Amino acid sequence: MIEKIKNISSRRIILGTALALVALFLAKGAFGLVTETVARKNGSLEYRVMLVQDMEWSGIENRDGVLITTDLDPQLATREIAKFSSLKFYMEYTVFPGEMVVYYMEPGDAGFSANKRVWLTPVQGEMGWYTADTSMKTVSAIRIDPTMYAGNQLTFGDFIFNEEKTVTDYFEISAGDIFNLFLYTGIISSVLKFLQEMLKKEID
Amino acid sequence: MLLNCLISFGAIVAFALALHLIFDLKPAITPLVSVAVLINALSLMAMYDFLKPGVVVVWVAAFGAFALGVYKCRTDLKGKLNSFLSPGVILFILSSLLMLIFLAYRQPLMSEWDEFSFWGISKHLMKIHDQLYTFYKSSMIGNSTPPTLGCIAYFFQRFVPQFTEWICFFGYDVMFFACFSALTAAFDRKSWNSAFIVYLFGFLSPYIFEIYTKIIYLEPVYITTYADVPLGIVTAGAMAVYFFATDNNSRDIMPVLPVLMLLTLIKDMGFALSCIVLFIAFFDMWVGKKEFSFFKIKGFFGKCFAAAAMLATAAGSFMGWSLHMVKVMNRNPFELGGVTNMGQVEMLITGVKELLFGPQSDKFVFVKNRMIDAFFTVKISMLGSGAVIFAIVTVLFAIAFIFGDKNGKKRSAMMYLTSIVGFVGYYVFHLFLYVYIFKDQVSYSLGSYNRYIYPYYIAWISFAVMAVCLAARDGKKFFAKGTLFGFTGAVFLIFSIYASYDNIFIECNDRSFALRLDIKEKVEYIQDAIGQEDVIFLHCGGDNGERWFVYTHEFAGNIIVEELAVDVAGLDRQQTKEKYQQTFYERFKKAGVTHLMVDKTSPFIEDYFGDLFVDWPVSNVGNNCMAYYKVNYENDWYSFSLVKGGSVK
Repeated sequence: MIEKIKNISSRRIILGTALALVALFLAKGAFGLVTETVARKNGSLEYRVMLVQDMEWSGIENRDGVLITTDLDPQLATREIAKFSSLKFYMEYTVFPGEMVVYYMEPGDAGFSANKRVWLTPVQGEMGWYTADTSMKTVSAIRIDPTMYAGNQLTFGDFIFNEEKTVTDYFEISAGDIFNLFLYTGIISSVLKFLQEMLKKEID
Repeated sequence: MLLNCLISFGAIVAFALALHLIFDLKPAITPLVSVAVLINALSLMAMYDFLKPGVVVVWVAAFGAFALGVYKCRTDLKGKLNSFLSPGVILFILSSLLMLIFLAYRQPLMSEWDEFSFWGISKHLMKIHDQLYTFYKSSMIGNSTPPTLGCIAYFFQRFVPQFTEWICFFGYDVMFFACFSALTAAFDRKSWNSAFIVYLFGFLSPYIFEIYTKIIYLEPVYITTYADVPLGIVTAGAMAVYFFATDNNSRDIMPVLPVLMLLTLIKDMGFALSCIVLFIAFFDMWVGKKEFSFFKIKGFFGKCFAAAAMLATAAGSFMGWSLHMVKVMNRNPFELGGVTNMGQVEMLITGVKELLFGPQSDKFVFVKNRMIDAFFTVKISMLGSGAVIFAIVTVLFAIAFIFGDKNGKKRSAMMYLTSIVGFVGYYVFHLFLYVYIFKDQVSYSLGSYNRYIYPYYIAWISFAVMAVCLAARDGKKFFAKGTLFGFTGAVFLIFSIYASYDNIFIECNDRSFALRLDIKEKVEYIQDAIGQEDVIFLHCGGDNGERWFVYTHEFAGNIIVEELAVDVAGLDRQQTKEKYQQTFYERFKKAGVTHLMVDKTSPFIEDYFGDLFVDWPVSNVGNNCMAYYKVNYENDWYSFSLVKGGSVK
């Protein structure tokens, strides 16, 4: 076995890594498709549209109908979502928002933590829309940190939780995915080659 | 559009191959030497107002050299081609082509402030005029900045019908990737995994100093036309071309020369960085290349001649550009201007005297203390402050020293010491700039400190990685290679925590270009009303200057810069109005202004110039509106009549 590993060519290592990554991507998509479809059917994963008024706020003030952030950690939170797989919402701002994050709390958690968060990204071609996608999670609360600056005047549209996806959405390939494929293929196959060199005692 | 990019890129690759075929240059360094030679040649031709045909001349020369190389090596062409395709070269070609596809598909725009005052607009003007920006008056600020970055952008779009911003980014990226290829020169194809890891480090190195917090939008390292990242990366590239050379003769030095010229002509600070590279190289030859000979001159003098050749190249390039400015712009290149109106030499002498012998002015002491403090406290990178970077550099050099072979130990130690001296010199030079040249407001707050200093940090951390590469090649491979993998892995991990490159690099979101897209809509609305010879004065009400700069970029050939300040102290309202109208009348006449463009009205233009608008009041130009007026000169006075105006959306 070890002899076989020692004799695997570099080309095979690179190609094998790339194929494994593609397979992993497809498996991840298929897993998401199956689990979310089942959850939607049994009603545990619910499509939900909320407004900013439906949420709890902190660090944000309503001044004559205008929402203004008052500290460096403004937050919006809801406890009405039981299963969470995605969020999409509309926001306009007057100050560059900096970091935008969604935290989720799972049942039994004492509070929100840095280990359980998803970074929001702008939606391509839909100015003002932001989204966070994750594998389906059972949650007790969700918190949105829409900006990291005080004095930011924010205007929100709909908050869409768990928007239904088509089959192709689960297998959609972005420019980032292609970049990742090259990057991770290079990194993983380089490390594998390094391990092989150690096995072959090519390096002291 | 793509064809021009591909031919220019093909010329770079073909010339790189020719360098390998004819001069037997190490393959991994050939892309950088090729970029440097071709772009330097184009820059030289541009200085003699030969830019437009220059691209074709460079293409012909590059493909001609390729043909010559093929002819010379016709008996062993396959073998030579095989050896040319080293990991660095393959990564260079692959990443350049991927970047070309991505940029052509996504078509990102310039989005940073100074791209509209100089770095972007200069390239736009070069495309419009097919000339270097020194040859004509324009709205551009800083037209004395050296030419290579403009030329590299032009090289890839000479035959493209319209100025295309993403092609400028592509030009820069090709240059960066060529430098990363040079960083991998220690490794042959058998060690492709180490080469990949070093290349990845090169790719991540500018991000280390660009990202301080996890941000949602674009951090445009690979899609910007600023010159700071190129300064750092090309410095590292120049060092790599020298450092990994193994011939111990003039062949170690000759390929460095065009890269030093390229570096010197990126930005004024490039000359200082070139001098630091040659300073480090000289001492490296001293301890690490005992048998070195420069064109048969051996020993100490051979090394001195080699260093002199590098100095002559850097200084010659700098002087050549200076003479160009004297000749074309009638401008004293040694006059730095600024608050003290000092020349370069005067600044250095005064600064060294004040630093070493005193007495030091209050401003000098304040800025000096702030800069010392900033080294320890200002977060200059995702890894921490300058002191943290210095600590990391020290650890990397220490590893290179411990695990290197006998010669590698000496070279690493000497490179560490000389790079510290280089850093101190670079830092002190910036101290002098802050004290003597920059305005007080900038000096006391150390304005743009990170941007001015990090080119050296990018280069410095790359120097340290090069020393580890040397140990991985010649010394205890396991530990040195392990360090390369571990360090790059750690940088990648931190990078992944800080930055979701889906946002910052790959997707480059539309929100980053919101201002550009908004103005583009207005530009499209008004464009058909603008004649080629129109000279436009632009007014953007309620603007902090950003919109104005973007417009000057969009209408680079038409908009003029006019001073706005008018001394109205002590005047009443009516007198103020008359003074404004009279002063602007004189300025408009003098500058030959034919049209007035109003992006948005303001109390200023309504109160002081409102009665000059004869048929369409300027107060109509609200949000999402645009107006273009003709300036009518009659009876020694002026008025504005509408050419086109109304709602844009």
